[in-house]
Amino acid sequence: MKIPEFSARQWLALIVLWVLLALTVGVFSQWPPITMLEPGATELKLTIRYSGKRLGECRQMEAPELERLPPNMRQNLVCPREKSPLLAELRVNGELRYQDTIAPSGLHNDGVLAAYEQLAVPVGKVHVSLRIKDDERLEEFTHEYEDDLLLTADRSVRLHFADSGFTVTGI
Amino acid sequence: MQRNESRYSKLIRTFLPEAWNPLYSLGATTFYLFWIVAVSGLYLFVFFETSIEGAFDSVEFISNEQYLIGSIVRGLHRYASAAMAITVTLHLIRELVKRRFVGARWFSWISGVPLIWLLFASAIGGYWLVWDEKAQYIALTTARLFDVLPIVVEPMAFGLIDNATVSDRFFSLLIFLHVGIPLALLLGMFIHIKRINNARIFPQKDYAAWMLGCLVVLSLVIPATSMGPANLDAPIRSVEIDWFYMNVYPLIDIFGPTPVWALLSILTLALLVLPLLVRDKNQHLAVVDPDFCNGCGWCFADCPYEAIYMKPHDYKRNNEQAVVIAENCVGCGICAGACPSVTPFKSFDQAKSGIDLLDFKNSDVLVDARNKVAELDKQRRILVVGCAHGVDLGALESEHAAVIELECIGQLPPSYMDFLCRRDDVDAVLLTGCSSDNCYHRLGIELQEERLHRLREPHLRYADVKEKIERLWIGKGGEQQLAATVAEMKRALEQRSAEDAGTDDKDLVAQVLEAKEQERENP
Repeated sequence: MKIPEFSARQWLALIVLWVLLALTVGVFSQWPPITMLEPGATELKLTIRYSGKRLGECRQMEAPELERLPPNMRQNLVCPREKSPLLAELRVNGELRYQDTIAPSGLHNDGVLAAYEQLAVPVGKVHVSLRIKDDERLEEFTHEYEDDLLLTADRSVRLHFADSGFTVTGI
Repeated sequence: MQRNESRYSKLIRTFLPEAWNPLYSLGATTFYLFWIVAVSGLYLFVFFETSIEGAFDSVEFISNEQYLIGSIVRGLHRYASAAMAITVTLHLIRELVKRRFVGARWFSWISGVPLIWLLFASAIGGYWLVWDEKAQYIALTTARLFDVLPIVVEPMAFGLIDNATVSDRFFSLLIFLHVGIPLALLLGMFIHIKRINNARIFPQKDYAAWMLGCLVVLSLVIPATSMGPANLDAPIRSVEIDWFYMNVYPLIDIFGPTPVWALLSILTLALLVLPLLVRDKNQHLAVVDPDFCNGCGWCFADCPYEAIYMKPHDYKRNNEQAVVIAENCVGCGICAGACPSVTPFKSFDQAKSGIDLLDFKNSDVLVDARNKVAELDKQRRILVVGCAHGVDLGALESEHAAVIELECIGQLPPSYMDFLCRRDDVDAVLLTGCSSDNCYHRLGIELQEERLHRLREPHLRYADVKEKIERLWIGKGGEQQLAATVAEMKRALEQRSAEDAGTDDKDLVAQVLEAKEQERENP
């Protein structure tokens, strides 16, 4: 490596510059860290994967309607595609921690309804309540889960809602 | 802004050798850092295992079991990437401040915007591969970011629910992305410089070697390490953030993905529409006069922005003709400085250029220069030629010095200096403008130097004329030094004038150089 011919002042400036650059790169590529969970807290994962309720009722096609359709598309029962949004509400020890209206996926709002949320909750015994309303035309919640969970600091707990109902894993 | 830049430039120049000023080679340094990342990445790829169990262990093996070599290479890979984030950010800010996005430069500006996204995607993808707690955090937070997009049917985060949901194929996908995205970045980088002639894609060798050495030392002093292995069944308590590339992740945690998307979209959009919003009213445009274009192609060779091509001449048989691509032309005038047709020796009245700036013709420049020097005090006539983007020439005009300001110093045809000096219109010429590694129009100084040293056509014809030409590539903030140089040249001319009566074998340039040498020794 060729040693450039610089004055002492220039050498000093260059060394300061390179050291500063190196320190900036070295330090800020890993510091300061961010804290995800305070001591005494653990993680609760709320996951929802639900096929959803259709907003309209299925109906029988009339004979003239069927005749207008190509033979391969003729079926007696037709159902509207659009599904209802889903309202989810999670309380931990009585405190509302999550509330969201989940829209069905897809351009025609006819896809699956899904959500993923990570929550920091206290370690130890906690009272968890998850309420789901899968039909926006109704006033009351349609599915409810309520239980005391014993949470530890080193394991994540997953509370899942699907067509089959509620499941808790990681306990 | 300009005043601050002057002060800053002056301060930098005092302490930093110009050729080593990293701000003058940010683009080239970014290319160089890319190659360091690419080569070190190839080494890491050889030992990397694309599996859940193997990913973390293989990276640990590289870091701890290869007698420092693996650790250094991993450090180079990480730290050169981080340095790229710095150089790219500074490059963006510098081009923004210097308004290098207006007019024909829109292409480089716009094509640079997606490169920022690709750079971030490349770097973040690399962190996934380590599959430590940081990778777990990045994976889950990135999934949350993308899950809010309406095109996503099933949340990506569902693939990262627990250890059982992640498969080895996931790592095959990651490695594919971590190779594919940087390749797209490289392609984009070459598109970015497509409209730039003689683009510098490598910094000077000494500088490059010292930068590599600096990164190696850094890799030894602060080795790149992993956090604990990823465990999707357990919570992450804290994460060592790479603030160069993961700076938006804490924002996602605090504000959620949607506001972050909004912020990123607004910033990207703002960068993309900037060239549309800001217009340069003073921008010139080069035009070709087919009557005087002899098809030499020198303008084509010198244009820094690929704005000229050659085609068969419209009506001169067996001849070529330059054509200006107006949307690529930034109006630097370097092409006009390269045109041999402008030479005033053949006949001053016919000294018309084959290519010239539409509203800033070189023939007018010569007339202006001759008028100005005609008013100077005889025997101490100095013509100072500068540019619109370099050192301020405002207060320089005096009874001994005439000032001509061009768009770029490369706009000045060498034949003008031959003409003015040989006719004894001037006693000395001082060429100045931007600093040597920081020409606003990229190649103006370099090309003019080559013309003066007869390394490039059109070149200076007379050796005695060359001796009358002094150059001071000083840039903004160098006004005092410029004034001192002009004063020194004036003194030398006075001394020569006095000595002409007696005997003196020292020529003007030798005296100026001697004076400058003394000034350097006793600043």
